Amino acid sequence: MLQFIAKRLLFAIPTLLGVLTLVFFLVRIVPGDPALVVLGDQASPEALAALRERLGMNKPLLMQFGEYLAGIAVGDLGRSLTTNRPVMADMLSVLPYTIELTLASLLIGVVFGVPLGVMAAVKRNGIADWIARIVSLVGLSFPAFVSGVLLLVFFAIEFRWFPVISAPKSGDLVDRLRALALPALNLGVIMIAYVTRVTRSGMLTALNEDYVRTARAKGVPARVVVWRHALRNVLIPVVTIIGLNLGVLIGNSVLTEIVFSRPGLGKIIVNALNTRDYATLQGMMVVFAFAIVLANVLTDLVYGLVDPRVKTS
Amino acid sequence: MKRFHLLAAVSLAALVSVAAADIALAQKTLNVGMAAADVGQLDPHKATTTQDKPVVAWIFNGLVRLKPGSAKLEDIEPDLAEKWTTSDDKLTWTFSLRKGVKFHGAYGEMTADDVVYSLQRAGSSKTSSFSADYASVDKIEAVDPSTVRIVLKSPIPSLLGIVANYHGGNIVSKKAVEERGDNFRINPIGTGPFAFEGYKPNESVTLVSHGGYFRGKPKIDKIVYRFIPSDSSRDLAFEAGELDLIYGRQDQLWVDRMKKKAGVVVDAVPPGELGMISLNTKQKPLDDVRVRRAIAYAVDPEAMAAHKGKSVATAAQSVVPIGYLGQIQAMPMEKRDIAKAKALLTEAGFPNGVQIKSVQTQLPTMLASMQVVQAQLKEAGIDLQLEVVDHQTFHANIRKDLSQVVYYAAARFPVADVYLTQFFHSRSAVLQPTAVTNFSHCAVADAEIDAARIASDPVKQKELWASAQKKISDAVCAVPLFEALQVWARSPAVDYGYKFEGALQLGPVITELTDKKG
Repeated sequence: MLQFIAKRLLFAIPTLLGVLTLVFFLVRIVPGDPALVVLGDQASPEALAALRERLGMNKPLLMQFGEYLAGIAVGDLGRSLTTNRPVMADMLSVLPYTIELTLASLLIGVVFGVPLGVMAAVKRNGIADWIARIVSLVGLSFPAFVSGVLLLVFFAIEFRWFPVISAPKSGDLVDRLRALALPALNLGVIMIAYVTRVTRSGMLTALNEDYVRTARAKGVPARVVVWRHALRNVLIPVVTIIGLNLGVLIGNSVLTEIVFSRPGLGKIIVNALNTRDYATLQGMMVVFAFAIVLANVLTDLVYGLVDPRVKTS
Repeated sequence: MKRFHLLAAVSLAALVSVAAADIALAQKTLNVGMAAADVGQLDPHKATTTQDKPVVAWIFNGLVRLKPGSAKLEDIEPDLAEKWTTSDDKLTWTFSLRKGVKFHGAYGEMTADDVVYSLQRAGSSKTSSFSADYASVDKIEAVDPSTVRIVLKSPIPSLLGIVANYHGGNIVSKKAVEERGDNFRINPIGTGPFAFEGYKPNESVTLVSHGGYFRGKPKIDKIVYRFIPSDSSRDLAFEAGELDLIYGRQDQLWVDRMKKKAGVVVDAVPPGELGMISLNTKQKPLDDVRVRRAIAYAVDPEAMAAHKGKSVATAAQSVVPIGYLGQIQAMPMEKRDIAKAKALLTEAGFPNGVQIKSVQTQLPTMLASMQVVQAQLKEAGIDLQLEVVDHQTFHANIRKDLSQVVYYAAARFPVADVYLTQFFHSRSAVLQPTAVTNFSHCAVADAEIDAARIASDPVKQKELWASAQKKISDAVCAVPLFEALQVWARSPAVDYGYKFEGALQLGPVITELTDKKG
C-alpha cells in the first residue's frame, strides 16, 4: 500500500513540473506589470524600472525559471511581489480554511447525495425521484455566487443564524463551525447534485441486474437488497465522480470565498492574478495541482476499500 | 477539602475568564468594509490605491494636516509641526516640531532626524511614488532636534501640500524603516492615533489605538479593516451589523436604498474623481482636431452625470477637477450638438462616420461609463470599438499607446499643476522615460504649465493655469465627462468627531475623537 502511494506521488512530480512551467510562462506572456501595481500610476518610470530590477524581473526568463525551480526544490515558494511576505506563510495561513471548506462540502454531498440518489432510483418517477431531480438540477445550474447571496439573505439577514462575514473571529470550535456552515452548504449543494445523479443512474442499472432479482427471489428484505447488495456496486462510479469533482469544488470555492468573505486559496489565486503577483500565483497553482493529484491518489485508495476486487499493489 | 480547593480554584478561574471576556467585549472595535480584495501596501510613500490611503491616514501624521473632514487646502492646520515661518522669497521654510511626540511601539520620540529622513525618502524615486512632487526641493535639514528647514530651488504652488498628512508628507520612523526594510510595506510605524497590529492575507488589517498619541488616547480601541470585494456581501454585512462603516457605490440607487435604512448616514464627499477620455493626437483619425472636436460635441457629460445620480456625480467643468487651486469654473465647453459633430466629421473627410478603437478595462463601473460614451458617439456616426481586457492588461496597454481613446478617472492633490502636468504636459506623455499619464500626447500648454509652477505672484499663476486649461480644451486633447464623489455609509453608532465633508485620503479620517456608541 505504502509503495503504491509513494509511486503515485512520484508520478505527480512531472505533472507538477508541467503545471509550474505552464503557469510560469503563461502569466508572463499576459500584459501587466507588478511594479505598476506596487508603486501606483503616479510612480516615475525610473522608480518602476528600479523596482523591476529589485524584483528580478529584468533577468532572462530562463534564469528566473531556474532560480524559481531551485527555490522550490528546497521548499521555498518565494516572496509575494506585492506584499513581500513569504508565499509559503500566506498559503499556510489560509490552507486550513480551504481544507475544512472542501471536506465539509464533500461530506454534505455524500451524506445527502447518496440517500437522495438511492431513493430516487427506488421510487423511480415518484415524488422522491422528482425532488431529487429538481434538487440536482438546481445545484448544477445555480451559479455559486447567486446561491451564496441567497443563502446570506435568508440565513444571515432574515434569521440571523449565521454571520455574513464567514471568516472565523476566533479559534473557538462553535465560531469556526458557524462561519463554515453557509459556505459549506453553498458548495455542498453542487456536490449533492453530482452525487445524486450518479447514484441514481447507477442504482437504476444495478436494481435490474440478475443478482438483485435473485436476492429478491430468495426473500432478502427490500432494504437489504437496496442498501447492501445494489448500493455497494454503485459506489465505484460515486467515488469516481467525487474525486473528479474535487476540481469543480476548488473552482467554485473561489466564488464562495469571495461571496462569504472567507479566507482561502482560491481568493489568493484570483487576487494574485489581478495584481500580477507572479510569485504568489505560481506557488498557489503548485499547491492546487498537488491537491488534485492527492485527491486522485485518495480516490484510487478508496476504490480498494469499496471493491475488494481492486488491488492497489 | 482538596475537592473544595479545586472547586474554588475552578470557580475563580471561570470568574476571571468571564471578567476578562467582559473587558474584551467592552473594547470598542470599529469594523470597516472596503471594496478591495487585499491591501496594496501601507508604506505611506508608496501607497497609491484607494484601499490603502485611508489606513495610512490613521497610522501617520504630517508636519501639517488637512483638518479632519475637509479636502480643502485652506483648511490646513498644524500637525507634527507647531508653527512655521517662511522667508520673503518663499524659498526657505522653517518648521518648529511639537515635542514629546511618540512613535508606535518601542520606536521612541519623533525628532527632526525622522522628519528629514521621511521627506528625503519621499523625494527619492527609489523609495517613493510621489518623488515628482519634491522636484523643486533643494535641501531638507535638521537645524536642531525640534526644527526642520526646507530650502527650495524655486517656489512651488503649495509647499504645505507636500508636508501634509497625505502621500509623501507622512512622517515615518527612520529606525523602523531601516530595521524593517521591505517589510515596512506591511508593517509600518508612524505617530498617528492607530498603530498597525496585524494583517491577514486577502482578509483584513487590524490597527489598535496608540496610547501615547500626542492628541490623547483614541476613543476607539481597535479598527478591523476588512477587504470585501463583493458589493452585495459588503452591503449585507453592514445590514447585519457586522460592519460599522463601508465603502459605498458611486450609484444613486445604492445611495437611496441605504438612506432608507434606519439611521444610516451616507456621505458623498470630494475630492471627486474626474473621468475623462483622452484622445490620441498622434494617431489617425484623431490627429485631426475636427474629429476630436466632433467627439466633444457628440458626448453628453450632463447625461452621464445624471446617469450616475445627482448626489454622487456632477458634470465636469474643465480638464482639471472642480475645487482644485487654479481650476476654472466658467470654461467654455462644447454643448452636445450631433449636427455640429456630423458636420465636423464631413469637413474632416469622414461623411460616412469614423471608426475608433479603445482598450477598455473590464472593471464594471469604468466599463459601464465607456459603454454610455459608445452609445452617445454612435448617434453622431462615430463607431467606438471597445477591446475589453482585464484591469492590469488595460493599464499595461494604454501605456504602450495601444488605445486611441483612453478613459481614465483620477483624483490628485488639489492644485491644478498636478493634474495639468501629469495628464497634459508633453514630458508626461506615454512611451518615453518621463511618462506619467498623458495618453493624448498633448503638448499645447507646456509653457503655461511650467511658468505657473514657478510663478511667485498667485494672480499671475492662476492666469497661467487658466490659459493652459483653455488651450488644452481648444486642442481637445481630452473630453472631460463627469466627477464622481467618494461614497461612504456608516451606522448611526459611529460619530467621526467632526463633520465629514471631504478627505484627500479617499476615506474618513479616524481620529482620537472618533467614537462608536452603544
